Amino acid sequence: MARLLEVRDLTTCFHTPEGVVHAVNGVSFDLAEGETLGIVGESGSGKTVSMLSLLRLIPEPPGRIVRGQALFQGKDLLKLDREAIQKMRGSQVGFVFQDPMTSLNPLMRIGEQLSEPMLKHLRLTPRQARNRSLELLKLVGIPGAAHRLDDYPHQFSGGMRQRVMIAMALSCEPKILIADEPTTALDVTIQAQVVALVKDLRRRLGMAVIWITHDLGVLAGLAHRVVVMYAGSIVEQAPVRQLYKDPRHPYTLGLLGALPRVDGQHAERLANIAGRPPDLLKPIIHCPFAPRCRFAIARCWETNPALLPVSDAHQSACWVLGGTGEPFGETQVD
Amino acid sequence: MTARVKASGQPTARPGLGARLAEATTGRQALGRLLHNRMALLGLIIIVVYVVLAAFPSILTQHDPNVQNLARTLEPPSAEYRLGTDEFGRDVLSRVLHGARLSFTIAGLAVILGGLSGFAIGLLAGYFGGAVDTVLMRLMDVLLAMPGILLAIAVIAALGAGIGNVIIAIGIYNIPQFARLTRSTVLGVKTQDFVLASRSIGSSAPEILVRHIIPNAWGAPFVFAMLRFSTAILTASGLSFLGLGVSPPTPEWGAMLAASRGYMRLAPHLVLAYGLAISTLVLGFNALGEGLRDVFDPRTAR
Repeated sequence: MARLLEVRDLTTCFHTPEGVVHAVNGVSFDLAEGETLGIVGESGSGKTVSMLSLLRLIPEPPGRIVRGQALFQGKDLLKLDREAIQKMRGSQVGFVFQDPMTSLNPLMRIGEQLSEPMLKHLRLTPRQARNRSLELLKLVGIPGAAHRLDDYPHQFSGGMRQRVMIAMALSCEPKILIADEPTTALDVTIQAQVVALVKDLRRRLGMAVIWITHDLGVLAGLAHRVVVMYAGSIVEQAPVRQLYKDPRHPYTLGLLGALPRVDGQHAERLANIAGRPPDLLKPIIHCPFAPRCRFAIARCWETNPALLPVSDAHQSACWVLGGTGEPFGETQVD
Repeated sequence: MTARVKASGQPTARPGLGARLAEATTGRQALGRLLHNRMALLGLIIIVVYVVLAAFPSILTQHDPNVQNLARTLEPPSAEYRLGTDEFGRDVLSRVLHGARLSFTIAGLAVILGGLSGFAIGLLAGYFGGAVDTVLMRLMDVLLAMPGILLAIAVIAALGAGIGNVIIAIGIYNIPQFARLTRSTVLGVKTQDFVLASRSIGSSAPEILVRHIIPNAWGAPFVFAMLRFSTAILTASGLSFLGLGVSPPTPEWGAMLAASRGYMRLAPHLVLAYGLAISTLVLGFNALGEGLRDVFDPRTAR
């Protein structure tokens, strides 16, 4: 598969009255055409900020992209001028946000909002855009689509609104769809529907998907590859099966251990990761996970490990479990 | 809306703040709620009565407001002169009604001038932030540092008296009030997710301002304009009372009140007529403004 997006050393910080918050610290990853990449990590781990940084959607000031590059079809998104990046947004890269209840303008009819990107990027006439909006609503499975175009957002349920958001993100057939925790605000059954919808659309439209979540369970059936983020850095990345079978970072282990299971293999009480994420106001020299890590050795407190290769497609930033040493199976976790 | 409830047969979920605002501004519910609010209804009636009488003074009196009848000065109310005559024998009722016309014009234009400029300034300061915000809002602070009437007097002193200059003076002193209110509203709206969502599909700043920020931010300044109307009427009268506004033969409430002050013992109906005219209309606008605020503010909605 051809490489579609190549992110290198992306670093973003926020200047706050309390000091500089190092939100994203040198993130590098690739995205192939048609691939689904999952990004997991807890709140504040830099998932959303790194994705917003790609399209320069973070508020500047206080935010600032310090360095890095994001090559999309050979063009560095971080160096484009304002007009060029505005042309990218929506037409090449679509975004779906976490909370469908607030992502739609309450005063605009659904049809109008859906038409907006098409009027802009595809230069359709209002009538054409309206027809295509109708098609899109049908595509994302909104019943009675023809009657819903002139409805206002408050007349839609959360799941339906998220479908509208997905339709809007897909309206210009982008090469990449970035979904930022699109199911977090939804009921579990609706979650499953939205996941199925995105899988189906991905296959039909052949786009690449970046799916941000804090739920490793959702990714299992959806992603090809998973990137695990902690404290603004990537701590592990691997093909999805390998990540579940052979996690090589204590944080990934912790996340997997915290997953509830229906087959009752784990103890009734879910494991948690002790401690809290580090304060991003202070520069961290040691491994950011060291204070919460039960495997930590002296070296972890001296230098922060870079991503070390485990196998071809698998890398981990851990002095202890990373590298090409003995696999660290699930059996040894408990 | 109702059709959908009937179709699904289920009550709709309680909509969020924005949705309820949308409902209030789109549906006939807003008007319905306004009419159910007694204060607002009272205010609306007062204003409508004033507007109708100011537009058609001939309903109540056939006298010209400026024709003097020196044989019949300072007469108490009678069948011919329903509110009596003033010191030059002019019909007081006619002068009150023509004064209303003038007050509406001055206050209306001043609020529109101050409101639109203030709204624009607040919009830019709130949306763009940073240096734009600092420069614009510090300018507003300078204007706010002076008491309103003093600022208006200063403007009149610089420009000279006259209806046009009174409008400009009152308009200018309204600018910072609207700018501040609009800025704070815009600050709230621009952090909403739908603004980020719109940026994410490639909208430019002007598009976002026109399509998302303005429609969601004009409600509060609009209600505020109703409240400022009464202040503008008072200020216009105040300026004329001080002799800085409209010059004598023109029937202006403040000017007439000032002139009739001297005959308070001889002909108290003059002061009463002009004074009550001012205070009733101000009361009407305040009542309507309060009512509108209740209708637009979802926290006070049932």
